[in-house]
Amino acid sequence: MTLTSIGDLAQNFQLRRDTARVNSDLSRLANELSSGLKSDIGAAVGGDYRALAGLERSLETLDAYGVAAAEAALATEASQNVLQRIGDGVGALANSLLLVQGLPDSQLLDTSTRDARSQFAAAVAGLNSSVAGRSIFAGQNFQGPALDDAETTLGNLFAAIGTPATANDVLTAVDAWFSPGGGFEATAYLGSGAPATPVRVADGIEVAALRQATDPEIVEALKGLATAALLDFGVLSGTPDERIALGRAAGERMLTAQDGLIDLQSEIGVVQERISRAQARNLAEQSSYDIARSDIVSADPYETATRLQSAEAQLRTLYVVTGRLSGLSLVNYLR
Amino acid sequence: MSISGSLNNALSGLAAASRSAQLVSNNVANALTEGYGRREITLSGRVLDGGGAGVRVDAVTRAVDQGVLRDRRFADASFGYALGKSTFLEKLSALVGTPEQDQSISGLFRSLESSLITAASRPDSDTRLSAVAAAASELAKAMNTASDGIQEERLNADRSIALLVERLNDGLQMVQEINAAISRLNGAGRDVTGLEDERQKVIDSIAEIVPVREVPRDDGKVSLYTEGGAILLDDSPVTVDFTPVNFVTADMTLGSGALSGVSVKGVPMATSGNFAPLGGGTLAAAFEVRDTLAPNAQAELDAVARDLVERFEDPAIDATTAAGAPGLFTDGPGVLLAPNEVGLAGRISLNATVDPARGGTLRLLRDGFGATIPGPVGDATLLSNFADALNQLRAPASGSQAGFGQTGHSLSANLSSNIAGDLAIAERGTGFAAAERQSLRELEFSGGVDTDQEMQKLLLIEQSYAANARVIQTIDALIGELLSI
Repeated sequence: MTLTSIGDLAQNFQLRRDTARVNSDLSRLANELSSGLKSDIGAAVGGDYRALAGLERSLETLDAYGVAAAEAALATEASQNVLQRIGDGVGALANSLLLVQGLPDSQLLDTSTRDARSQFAAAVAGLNSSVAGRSIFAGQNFQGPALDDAETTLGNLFAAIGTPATANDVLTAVDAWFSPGGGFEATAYLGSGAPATPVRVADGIEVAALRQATDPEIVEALKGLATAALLDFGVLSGTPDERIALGRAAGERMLTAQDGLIDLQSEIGVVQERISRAQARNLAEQSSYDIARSDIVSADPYETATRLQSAEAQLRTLYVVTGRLSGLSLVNYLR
Repeated sequence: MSISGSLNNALSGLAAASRSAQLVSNNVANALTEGYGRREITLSGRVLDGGGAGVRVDAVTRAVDQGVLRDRRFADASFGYALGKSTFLEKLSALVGTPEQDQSISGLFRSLESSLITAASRPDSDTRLSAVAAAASELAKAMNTASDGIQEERLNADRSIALLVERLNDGLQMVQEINAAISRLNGAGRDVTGLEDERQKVIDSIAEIVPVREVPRDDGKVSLYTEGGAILLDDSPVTVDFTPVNFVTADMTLGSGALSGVSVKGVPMATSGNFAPLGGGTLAAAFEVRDTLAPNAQAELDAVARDLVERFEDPAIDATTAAGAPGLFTDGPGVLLAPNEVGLAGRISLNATVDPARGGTLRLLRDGFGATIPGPVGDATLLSNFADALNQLRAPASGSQAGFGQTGHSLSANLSSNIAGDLAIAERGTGFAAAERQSLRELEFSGGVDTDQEMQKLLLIEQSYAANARVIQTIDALIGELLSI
């Protein structure tokens, strides 16, 4: 069918449709420019959200791991400080105790054992410290102290060793009390038997951030301090030679304990290093995932601005054309 | 008698000219009316005793291209069908959400996982435990909302089917009445073009519901058949029957008899499949939403819900509960049984034993659901196990992802992706149908009234009228000459 005429509505319909289309493009581009995000993300990912979903999940879990890692770092840092203080005290005491050679040094022995008693109390206080509201040496019992009151503990120990005759007897009794299953674990240690659960600080990386007061190195240090403190309680009071022997033995024990504490500290140091490596890895992953995500969802401002300008120009042209065409009617030319 | 003959000729010319002018004025007045068929006049020479005797108006016709009209109606129906489907898929995508939104199902999976990680770092913190409970509860509620939304769309589809069937029946009745009026007026030789305009409009509205073919019959009547071959109107209209329902739940289907289909005189009519009698228009789209698209979406959502429930029912996760005990998520108040999967997404909830809002105890998230005495507050084992369960590669038991091992989060991401993929395809289809419809409408409008051409005709009509009037004047002068003898 050959058209000899073209209906009025046809041209008008097309112009209206085109104007509407350009207008909606214009408002969409303006939106994208101001918000910085693409308005149709479904189209941007081609209907496949799996990559974007994976990125979003990774970013959110990395945030959570960041929190966990920071808390673990705080706990290990605090643990190091406590152990350092105990180790220093134990080392200084050991030095002074080992200077005690014979009867003329009984004065030195007395001051040293008094010092040991207060050092023991300080060690207990240190081991009972809590960071951000949780005990760091109580295993899984975050809410309470790791150890009972120092004086009570020493009193229990004093009562438990009975009336020994020689320094060796005292040492054997103290060893028995502090050994696993003995009086220390039963009465003095208030934490949990099981160690604290490892903390997840990154995908697939778990660290044991918390120690227990029942760790052998710590027990050795407490044992050394307690042995010396017993002398202040009046053990072996009738035999000054035995007292001196006990004092020296305590000093030797403390020296060994100090080495043990340093070993424990280096173990914790390894854990700290793992935590900070995990933190660094998390940060690196976060920034690269962030970049990948903004590649997908954000609208490039330069490109959007250019498209906005061309849409504006197109709309203006459309308006001019509409005006011109509406003037072309035969009616205007008849009379 | 040739003078009176000439007078008659001239008068017939005047009559034809004024009739033409009337048509031109009608056309110009209706230049903006959509669905108006441009009037054209057919003139032919009048013959008396074998000789020419003036002009006769043969007929007034509507210049409507039937081919374009038929194609445009079919495009309307296709567009309605495509739009019905893509509208539903858009709503579905909004219900489930897309992964970049934090409140989407995918986003809530993420918050559950991250709340478990931070709680495992400080299991002694009640704040962190209640964050876990809140995240799990929100995830379950989001699934409930999505499921409810899908069933509501089914109810809406059912309601719109009832409306469309009513409109279809009313439309067929109206066409029948107009047919009768047209055949009556045709018999009397009167102008039926106005009624034909009306009938075209009514059939246009029917054509959106079901694509129709218009077949001309005697006396200006028409018959209507659907593209699928069903008779809608042939001497008398059919009545399409449909029974709407008041509410729709996931287990109600066409197959179970709980929902009704369309039928004519008790014979059910299909709306989907090749050459379906009532397929291809908005009616078919509503049925597809109610009976195919929405139930499929519900099944996919139920499969994700089932995987979520079953993930946490693994007896290895919680040492304080026995095998078969409910895990972190439950089917309403109880354990999930496989046959009850339909509609699970609408019932899934956080296990009430750990939900403080329903009388549960928060610390059981750490101590174990079967723990009667409180355990150590620093024990993060169960919380870590929950996080591991969420991330374990597990093959879902049902749905389109069945058999493919994946984590909880990737299952939700796949759900969103599948919906987005379907939506993209449907939108492309709608876009194509819209473009086709636009261009056919434009083509139809091209055949409409062109005021420029009407003005040109008017010039000729003016000339013809003036010329005929001049002839009458001359004949009057001739008769005058004769009488003045």
